[in-house]
Amino acid sequence: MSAIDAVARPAAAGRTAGRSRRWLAEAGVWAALGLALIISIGPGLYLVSLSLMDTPQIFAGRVLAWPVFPDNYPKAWVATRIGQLYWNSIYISTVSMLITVAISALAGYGLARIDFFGRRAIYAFILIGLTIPLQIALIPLFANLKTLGLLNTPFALIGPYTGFGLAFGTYIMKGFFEELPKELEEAARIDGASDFRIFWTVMLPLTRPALATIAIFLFLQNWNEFLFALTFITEESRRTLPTGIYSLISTEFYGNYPLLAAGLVLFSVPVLVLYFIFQQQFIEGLTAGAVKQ
Amino acid sequence: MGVGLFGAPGLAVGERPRSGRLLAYVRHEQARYGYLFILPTLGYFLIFVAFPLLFSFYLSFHDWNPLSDQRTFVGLANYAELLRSESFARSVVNTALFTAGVIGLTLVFSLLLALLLNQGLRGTGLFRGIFYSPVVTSFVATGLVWLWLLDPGYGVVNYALGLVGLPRPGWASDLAWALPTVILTFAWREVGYFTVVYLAGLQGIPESLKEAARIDGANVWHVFRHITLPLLLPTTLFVIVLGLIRATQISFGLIYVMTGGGPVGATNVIVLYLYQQAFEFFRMGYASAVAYVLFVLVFAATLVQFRLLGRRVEL
Repeated sequence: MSAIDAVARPAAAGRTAGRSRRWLAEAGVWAALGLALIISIGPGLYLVSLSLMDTPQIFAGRVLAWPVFPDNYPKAWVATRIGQLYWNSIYISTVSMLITVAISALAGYGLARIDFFGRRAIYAFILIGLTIPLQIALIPLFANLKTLGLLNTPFALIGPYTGFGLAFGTYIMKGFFEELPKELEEAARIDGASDFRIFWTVMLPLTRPALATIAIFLFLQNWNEFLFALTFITEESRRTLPTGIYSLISTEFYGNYPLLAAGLVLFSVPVLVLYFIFQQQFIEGLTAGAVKQ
Repeated sequence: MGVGLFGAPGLAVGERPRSGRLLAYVRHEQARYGYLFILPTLGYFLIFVAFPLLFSFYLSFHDWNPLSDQRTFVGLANYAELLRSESFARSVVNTALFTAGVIGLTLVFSLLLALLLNQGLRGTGLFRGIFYSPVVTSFVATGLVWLWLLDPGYGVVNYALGLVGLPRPGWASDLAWALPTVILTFAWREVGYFTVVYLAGLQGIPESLKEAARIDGANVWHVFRHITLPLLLPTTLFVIVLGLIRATQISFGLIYVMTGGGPVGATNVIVLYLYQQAFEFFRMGYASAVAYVLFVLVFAATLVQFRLLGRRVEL
């Protein structure tokens, strides 16, 4: 197949020698992968372990929690405002994701399947959004949100998240709509369906995988966003999880490692679960740009 | 490339529109629909992306403290100050070092991991999924965990280094080690991302090519050096472009959480400098000038790389 076979091949003259070399190569690959696995998820497991310790264990420099203190979790939930932060994060991430998916599906369809003047220019314009540093919009957005009195409202994040998610959404949707056979569309047109009807009942249902990819990708991105959240929301009870937890760490829970670790686990678990459920869609979204040059 | 109902000019070879009055009518109607479909996205994009871009440009020629709300035109003074500022120069150097360090580490390790995963061994699909998982977690979580792991006093890493008798650096709190620390942490997270990209690239290389080379007597190294690596060039360029964009744009959270730019500016990158000027010193006009310089730098670098990319892919 690849390197392993190639290693084995020159030795194929002596069967047993070949087999043992192959076995060695395979063992080497597994050893390297195992090492990578430890480095990759070790820190995560360490965090979980920290979240189950009591303070003496932490200062003794323990790696594994024993005995375990699972009540750090309910404590973290009650003592911190993490419940409120959770709700803020879910609300903001979901609403922005839904708006982005809906309108980028429309845009993707228009750009891929309808011929109108200026569509290539518009597409190029939107694609620029993929390379613009978020930070360049930070100050003007702050200024405008301040003028409009919208700082510290969910809209202060929903608006910009949607704006910056659209380039990605439109890019993926356009690519997907382009792949659909035009016979489908023609058949519906002959039956007298309108453009919107064709989009809604014929084409859109076929793009479900792409919709799922965008939805999951944007949700995770919104969930973890830090800079806008740090700048546009300064009232503690209105923060989202990343800045909310960071704020807890630097103020009232400074040094309370078990509680903070539990909070961080509670914060990370939903996205990890989502990721492992929708892994396929997620990785497709990621590699879309890499393979389709 | 895709094809609209009547074929997009220049895109669809051999898909010319059929003639006929009905079709012309439908086509006209269609164009109207086209604008309707694109309108919400375009409007949103104009408000939240394009307008800020212009407004930021306008602000960069002004002196503006949001507390006093006085905006005075200062011409190019912000840009002039920026060019003279030592701390800005330092943040540019730090950004360059950070980006180069992260991309260098990421390229080597993600290619290595992708090659291992591409050996066709059973169960490696699961590994791919696990290697990627740090990428979906927040910088607040990963930054803090690494900060704790790398704690100079209580940290597990220094404990382990002490056991084998190696020197124990002060990591994030040490002047010389702080930048390498954030580079390592950021690269640790990025490797998972680009392993997936490289794996997709590797799977696009036809097996028959390697097979042919092997029949001609090429060994593993030859196959890698003369077939795999050249054919991965588009993927590598993609990784560099994306790595550059990500290292400049999304590293803020990590550095903010781990070092806050310190100690004494050792990890102060452009984005952090911008944030401090705007929201700690309230110099919004000056910070806008910084934002614009950042934008031009990233855009120029991306453009150059896209040029390279475009040319290589056409080969």
